[in-house]
Amino acid sequence: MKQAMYFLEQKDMPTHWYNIQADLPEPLPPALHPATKKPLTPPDLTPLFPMELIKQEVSTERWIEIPEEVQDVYRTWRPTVLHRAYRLEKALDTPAKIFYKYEGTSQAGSHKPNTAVAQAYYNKKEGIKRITTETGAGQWGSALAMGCAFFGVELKVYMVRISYDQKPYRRILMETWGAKCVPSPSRDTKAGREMLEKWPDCPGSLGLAISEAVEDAVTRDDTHYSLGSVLNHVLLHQTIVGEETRKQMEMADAYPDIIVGCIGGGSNFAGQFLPWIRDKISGKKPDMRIICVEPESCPSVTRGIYAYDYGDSAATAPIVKMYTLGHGFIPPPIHAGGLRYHGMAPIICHLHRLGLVEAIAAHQTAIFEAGVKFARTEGVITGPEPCHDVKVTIDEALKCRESGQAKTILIAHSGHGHFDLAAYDAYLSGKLKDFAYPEEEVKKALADLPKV
Amino acid sequence: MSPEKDPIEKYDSLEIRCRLLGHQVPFQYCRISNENLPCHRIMDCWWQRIEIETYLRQHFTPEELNHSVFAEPKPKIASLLELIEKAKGNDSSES
Repeated sequence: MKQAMYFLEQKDMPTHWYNIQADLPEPLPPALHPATKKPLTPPDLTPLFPMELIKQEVSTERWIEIPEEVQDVYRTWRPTVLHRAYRLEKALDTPAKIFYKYEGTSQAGSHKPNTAVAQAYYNKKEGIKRITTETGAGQWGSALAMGCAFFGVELKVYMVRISYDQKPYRRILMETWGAKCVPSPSRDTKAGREMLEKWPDCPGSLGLAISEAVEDAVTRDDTHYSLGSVLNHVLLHQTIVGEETRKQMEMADAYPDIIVGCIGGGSNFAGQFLPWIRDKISGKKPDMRIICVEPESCPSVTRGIYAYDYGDSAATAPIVKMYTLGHGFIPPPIHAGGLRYHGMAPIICHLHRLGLVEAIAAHQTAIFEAGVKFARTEGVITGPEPCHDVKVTIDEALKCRESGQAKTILIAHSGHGHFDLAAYDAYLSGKLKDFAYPEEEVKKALADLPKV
Repeated sequence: MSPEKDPIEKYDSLEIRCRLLGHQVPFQYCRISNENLPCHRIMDCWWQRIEIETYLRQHFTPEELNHSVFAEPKPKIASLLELIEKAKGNDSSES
């Protein structure tokens, strides 16, 4: 019998999160306060976050214990299953061994509850009664709504107006879990009211929704704010995924030659690969490839560079290392500095700069083609973001077919696409088109960036 | 004679998956979502598909573009700090 699923007993679920900051060959460059240019201090963030999360944000301890109360909630869906994708392997006629760790079986359908539950817990423990957050399509908002429900914390979600109107199902999920969800801009904050006075039909934006959620939290003593990606403590909470996978791969008597994951804010991919990368850093597995995949249409890591920003014209921009895209093709009169940030987690940018993580861009039609193949072989309707992982995995597996190598490939599969069927419909009906990023334009743009 | 200007709605029916929101949006949203100015990512998302730079120059002033498309996006932590300072001056209980 071929074993296609690897179950970890609940008693064997990891009890600690892994903190990569303990093992980085070079420490993460500190985030600097925009006003003082000095590294951030915990009091800078106390209006928004509980102290335990702030400590985790800057901690260099290797292992951080998962509180019992959080473990109890994790056990309502964890450990998640590690799958062997035999049917995909057969369809590709590849000697590669393909595994995928599937986070779509959480109640919210993605990896997001791994941090949502922890954040709700730490806020509750600190006496916070209410949390605010922002959301677009609602993946993060629904995960946090579930986390808050488990700990009896109120949640108010500022959902971008266009998403509120277009994506009602996630809103209904949030409300079912007890969250109050309002379209942003709302009349509940000064930022929202000012926008509605200027522009009653404003469709909203993530930036405005964040402004509203932060204002709500800062102006009430019983309220904090919560974020679902990018920050170090968020990535930390996601490492339970990779720690579980390490145990499950051992059960399968396998070790990944390649780990593939998509990157948006980076938390899903980091949750899987950070627990493995310590073997690459230590020299135990120097040849292991860790590949992050992003859309070709909006590249940030694959086409960007890593540099210090020199600040904007008003000298208010922060100075922090992030991956950026150059825009040197914009002539000087309206060129605002040449560096851009794309919301990528600093830890991932840092590891990429150190050569420990590689990045690949994928075209949107190709990723849906891969998603459809995965659905028709493994049965899973994959979310558009993890379809990127599937695409690159298929490419690597086909290379194995050519070379005859039986490499082991591990997919960091962040969740299902049941709320994204409109995107599948666009692909299946031929409405999606691909676009190539002109190399010459990239070279010109990067040539104009400041030397650092 | 100056070249003929395209209507501002020329690309409104085109759609793209917004990486920020996580769902499909029409181009119309991309050109207005930043306080009625273009999203700061509009060039990253659209420049392979349409003549986005030409379009932006036709329909927005350099000042508007500096304020929106070419304004430096900020790292998350730093932008949160700025929002904290801004919010301290606000009072959500005002009606």
